[in-house]
Amino acid sequence: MKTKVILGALLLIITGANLAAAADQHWLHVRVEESGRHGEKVSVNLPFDLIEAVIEGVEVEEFDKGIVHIEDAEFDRKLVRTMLDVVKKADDGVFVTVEHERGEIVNVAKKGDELHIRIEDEDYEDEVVKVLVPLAVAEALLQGDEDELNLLAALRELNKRGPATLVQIESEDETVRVWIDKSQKGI
Amino acid sequence: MKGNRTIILIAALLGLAAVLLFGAGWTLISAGSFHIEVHESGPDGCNFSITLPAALIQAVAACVPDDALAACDDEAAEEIARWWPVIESACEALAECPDCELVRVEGYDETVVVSTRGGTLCVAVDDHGDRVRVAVPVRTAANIVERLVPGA
Repeated sequence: MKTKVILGALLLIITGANLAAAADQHWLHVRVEESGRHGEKVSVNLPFDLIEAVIEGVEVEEFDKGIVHIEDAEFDRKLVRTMLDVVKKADDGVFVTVEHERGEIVNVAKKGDELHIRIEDEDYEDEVVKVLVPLAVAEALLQGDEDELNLLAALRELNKRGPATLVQIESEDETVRVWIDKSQKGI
Repeated sequence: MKGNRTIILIAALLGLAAVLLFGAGWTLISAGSFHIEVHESGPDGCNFSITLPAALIQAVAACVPDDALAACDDEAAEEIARWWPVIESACEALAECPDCELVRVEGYDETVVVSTRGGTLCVAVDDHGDRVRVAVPVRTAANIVERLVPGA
């Protein structure tokens, strides 16, 4: 009887440990839904461990274990870093609003340690695009040499931050959502 | 006394045999199974289903001489060698992945689902009445592919 109880308890501990390990895992979810009777639906759920493992394994010309090499990069890295520092220290608020003649409105705002980008296009299917860029992730992306973008560091920073909706696109024809949470199936 | 010794010896041999059988069975079960199933709708549709223990396929692959593998398409071997680190990392991560649905695509009359179940990558395709099911134990598959990597 005692043996059964001990074995049962051991089994519970092992199962609980596995469940806890699985519960700690963050997942990247993507949902695309096209409207209409024949609209296509796409659902992707990837554990961050898998994404990191694949990225770390890729070793080709311009992509070396999570480091993207950009030759003849057209952006000034120092300027971007300086701008990020300034934005980090600035108060919350709307930084940029651009209104195009065609009806497109671009809005960039800071809320806490995140940049919120919103693009509305009345001319193109009333599309609204929302993108969230955590400043720490942008900084992690710029780690490394002048002609490099550190995708792996940015991904790890994203994983560390936890649940958040990164991209949301809503238009007449489709909705797209990209987010991170701890559930396997996505909420 | 002699009789007792004989009984103990027989019991020990039986116990050893049981442990060996259990070990072999465990190896067989833990390696998983390759499964391919195709069902085509219609009177002339193709229908077949194959399930092979991964341990068996691994054993057969181990018996293939290295010379025979070296004679395989060089270009294909080079491509596999180039992408081997990604394949290896992805297979390891997939094997450790909890059971889940990774990808689902639902279109008009067509559904594709990629999922993992107990270290096995499962692909299910349903298209206008046709059905394809493929299950691959990822670790075993990686071990087999590794044999094709030159120098691995």
